[in-house]
Amino acid sequence: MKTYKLYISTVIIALGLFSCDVETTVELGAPEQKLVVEGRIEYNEADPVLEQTITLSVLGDFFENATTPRATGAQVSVTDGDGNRFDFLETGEGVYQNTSLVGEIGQRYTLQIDWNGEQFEAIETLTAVAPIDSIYQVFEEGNVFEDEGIKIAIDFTDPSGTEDFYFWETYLENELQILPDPGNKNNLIGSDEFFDGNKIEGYFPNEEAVFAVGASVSVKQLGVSENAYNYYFTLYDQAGKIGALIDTPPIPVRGNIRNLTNPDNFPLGYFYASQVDEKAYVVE
Amino acid sequence: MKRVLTFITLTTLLLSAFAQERVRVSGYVKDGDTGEDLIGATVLVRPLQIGNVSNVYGFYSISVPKGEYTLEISYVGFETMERSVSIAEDQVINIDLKPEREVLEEVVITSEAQNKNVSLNEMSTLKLATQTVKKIPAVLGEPDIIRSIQLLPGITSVGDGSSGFNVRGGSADQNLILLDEGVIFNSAHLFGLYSAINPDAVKDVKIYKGGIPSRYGGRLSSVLDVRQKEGNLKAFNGEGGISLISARALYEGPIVKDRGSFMIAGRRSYGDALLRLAGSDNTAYFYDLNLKTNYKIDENNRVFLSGYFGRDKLDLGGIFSNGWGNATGTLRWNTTLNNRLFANISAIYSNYDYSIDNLATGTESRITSNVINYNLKADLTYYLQGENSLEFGLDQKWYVFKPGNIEPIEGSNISPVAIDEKFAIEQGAYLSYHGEKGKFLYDVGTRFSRFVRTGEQELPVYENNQSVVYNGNLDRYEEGEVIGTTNYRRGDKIASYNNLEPRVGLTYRLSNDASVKASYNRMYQYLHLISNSTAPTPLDVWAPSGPFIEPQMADQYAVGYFKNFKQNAFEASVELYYKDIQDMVDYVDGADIIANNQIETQLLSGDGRSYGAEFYLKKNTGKLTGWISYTLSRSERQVRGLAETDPGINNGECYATNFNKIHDLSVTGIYELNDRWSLSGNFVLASGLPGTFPEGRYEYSGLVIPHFGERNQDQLPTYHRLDLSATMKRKPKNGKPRNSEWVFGLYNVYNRLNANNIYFIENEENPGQTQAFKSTLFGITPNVTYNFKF
Repeated sequence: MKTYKLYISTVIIALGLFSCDVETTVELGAPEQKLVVEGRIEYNEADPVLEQTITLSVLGDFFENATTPRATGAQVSVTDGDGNRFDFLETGEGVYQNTSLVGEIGQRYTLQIDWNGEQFEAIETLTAVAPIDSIYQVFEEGNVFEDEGIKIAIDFTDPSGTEDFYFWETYLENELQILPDPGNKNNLIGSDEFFDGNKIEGYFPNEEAVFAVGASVSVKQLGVSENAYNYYFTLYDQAGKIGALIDTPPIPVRGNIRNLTNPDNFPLGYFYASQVDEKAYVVE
Repeated sequence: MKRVLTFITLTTLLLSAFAQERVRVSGYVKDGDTGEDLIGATVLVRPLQIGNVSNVYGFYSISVPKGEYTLEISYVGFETMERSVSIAEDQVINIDLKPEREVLEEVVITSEAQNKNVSLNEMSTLKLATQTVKKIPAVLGEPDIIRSIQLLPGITSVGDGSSGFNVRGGSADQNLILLDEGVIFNSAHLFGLYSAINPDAVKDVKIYKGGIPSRYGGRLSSVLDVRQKEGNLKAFNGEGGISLISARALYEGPIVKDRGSFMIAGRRSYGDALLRLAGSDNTAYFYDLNLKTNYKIDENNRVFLSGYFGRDKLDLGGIFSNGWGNATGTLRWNTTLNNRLFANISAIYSNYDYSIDNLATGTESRITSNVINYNLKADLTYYLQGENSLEFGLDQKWYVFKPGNIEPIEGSNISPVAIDEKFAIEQGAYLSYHGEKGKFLYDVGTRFSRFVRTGEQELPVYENNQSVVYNGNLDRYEEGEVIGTTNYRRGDKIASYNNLEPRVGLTYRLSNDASVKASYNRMYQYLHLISNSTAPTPLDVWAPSGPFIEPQMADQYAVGYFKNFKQNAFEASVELYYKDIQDMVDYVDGADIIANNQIETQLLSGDGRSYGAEFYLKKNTGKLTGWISYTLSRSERQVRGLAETDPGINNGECYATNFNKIHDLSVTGIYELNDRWSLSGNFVLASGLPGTFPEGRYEYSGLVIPHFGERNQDQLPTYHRLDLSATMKRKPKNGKPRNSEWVFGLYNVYNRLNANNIYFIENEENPGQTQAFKSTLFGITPNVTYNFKF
């Protein structure tokens, strides 16, 4: 459903002739102490994931353009449905890792965090994903929405009869490629609502990214739960405002993590568990 | 239809029984030059001092004892006419009024201003003359009815260039916009830059903000009743105009002199031609067509056929195209069954549709959506003794909603999906009595409305019958669990609602130039515009009430004081209103409403209330005319949870609506400098609309994301703007006036960058840096328009 993105862009163009956006500042209060969790359990059949990583940070001041504070000194663990507990150790500021957890499709994982005197918990089931059938490059002429250049496209076959939700990450030399673009919610994530059981050809997992000859690119295709898909949809929506009256109103983005000690101070972020298929490609 | 006729016949018989030994004078009031019916002309019988105001078809009817009288007929912009009549039996007197002529050298005020705003039993109602609309400074010189009415008290919008308008704190979908009785579902061209109605083709615009008469129903907050010109019955005439954005033309004339006429008007923007000249392969344009014909069968019977067709089209680099528009058609029969019963029977068709072609590689698809509406109705007025009358009627509408079909095009792998079509019938019956007793005038009536959702449709059955459930663990609303489906066959009743909508309007005339008025109306609305953007978009979907969406209801109470000064040269009013709305829908946080077949899973229902005071001072005559309008108001919404245990929206507390504008002042002035030049200006000063500002920012998934708290807790900066324009009539040639004029305008004279919105984003070029941007539309914008008649 790229339509909405196109629609938004259309409005920008239609109104753009007469509109002008200027930077401004507004008075904002100090942010409350709020935990932000970026948690992922991944399982890759072909290329086993050696380290599972949970990153913890804290809400920062909006106009203070610095990295938000990290949440250090937390106790982090993940327990699977069979009762096996995996402790995550802080290997860098706010970065918690475990090397023994091997993901399992259909397994239910419970994340537990003890930080700053409060306890947090999230539960997610590891979701399977179809493999990427092929990865290749496509030269795309520029248009009103995107730059001209070489883009990476993939083919994949959606399993029939199941509700599947996708999440794609594109890396250039191991660095995640992402821009705060209003189209992300229609591009970096996908639902098979409109293509159940079909073979999808020439899908751009990141429409914004163009690559130079020789670039070493890899695409990760992840299976996520419907809940996670909805989370990303809202997250990208909130990160991709264009300032027109057709923007959806600003709202807090709620993930699947809850604060057991003080439910009103809900944490941000999401804890997902996914099967991953990754394909690499060198641009010619 | 048969039922309608039986109803009419029965009531006619019934009412005839009341007829007495008095005689009746009735007829039509027309413009003597063009034969157009005059709506709202005053017919006064002297020395009885009883009178009547011509209805929307120009018809009047007054009962008097036999005798010698003088009829005095007056209408703004026309010379008042006096006519001595001797009435011994029922008599038809048609009146042709002469338009005032502007005398060269100086502008002479020929007609006396009227005191209708004081004397009629009508409040919260505003009329705007097309001539005035054309003189108000407009963006890019395109006269615009919907933008102009926003200069009147109690009418606002959510921002410059937003589609729709808000009346007395009601949402944009609560306005019933009628063009010759056909419903216009989307009043915007170019996403709201312009409105869908070409002012050239319009004869009369009236907006009811409150005290809504029983004959209208179906929307909570207002009725914008637009009547098209009928066409000149006497001579062929044309007019047109060229502005920076569009060209328009109108042609009218008799089909058979004094019996039948036509009017055809068209308008097209040509911004796309400019874009193409600039070498762009993108286009964006709109056009609309208005058509009306009428034919007088005999003195008592007249038929009208009118149509409207408006369309917007966008095409972007061959990868995306989008079109939307309204079409309406009305076939109408006016008849005076005897000289005291006036009937209007109409068959109306209305269709709103949009389509989107997405031609992006891999996902080529087309989405189409429609709302179709067929309507049969009969409106009757029975003129009783003196100034009393009875209005009654029946109304039946059939709706077909086609919210969205998605189909693959150009052989893409998109699976076709059709969102369920929905069917409904809306029925109305009303009866209203208008009475006058000395200084006291009253309209008491009620409307009965019935709405039936019918099959065929397959509806999901939700666990515990809840389409939305609250997840207490994560403190958020989620889709209800579908546990089965119910199949309704074609015509099966899915849900039905029966409601009474009482309407009361009272006036007490304190004197000839002062009155107090009060009104109450209850309204039900069975259609809901499902939108989760700040302003409605052409892609929003209309959803009918049904098993999961209750009808909305509003009660409105208003009181007002009306006073005229200086022989009605000035009219002033103060109105207070309170409006209470129940069961309006609001979307849950993160709602996904695009192509969603189970839209009910994204909605909560809540209540709204708005209240305010409106002050209005208008100068009707003299070289300087215009008005000052000030509104102090508040518009709130409250969405409680599904049960005690869940919080609803914003913790179940009242919050400001997107269109809550506390102070709103506008000043509009038109100054006739001399016989060639007129100047006009308007100034607007208003509180900033509500906004939602972030509490902080956080990093996730490679992005920096603003974190927001509750909705609408902040406020945008104060809004103010000044617009000016000058109209120059061309010099007379050889002593003959030339019917053309230039309009020069300057919109937003001091280039105030008003915030339409403030949004918070991560800088795309400089990731990691977050900024706040104020989006503004229309800085200082000059314009030139040329208007001509031929």
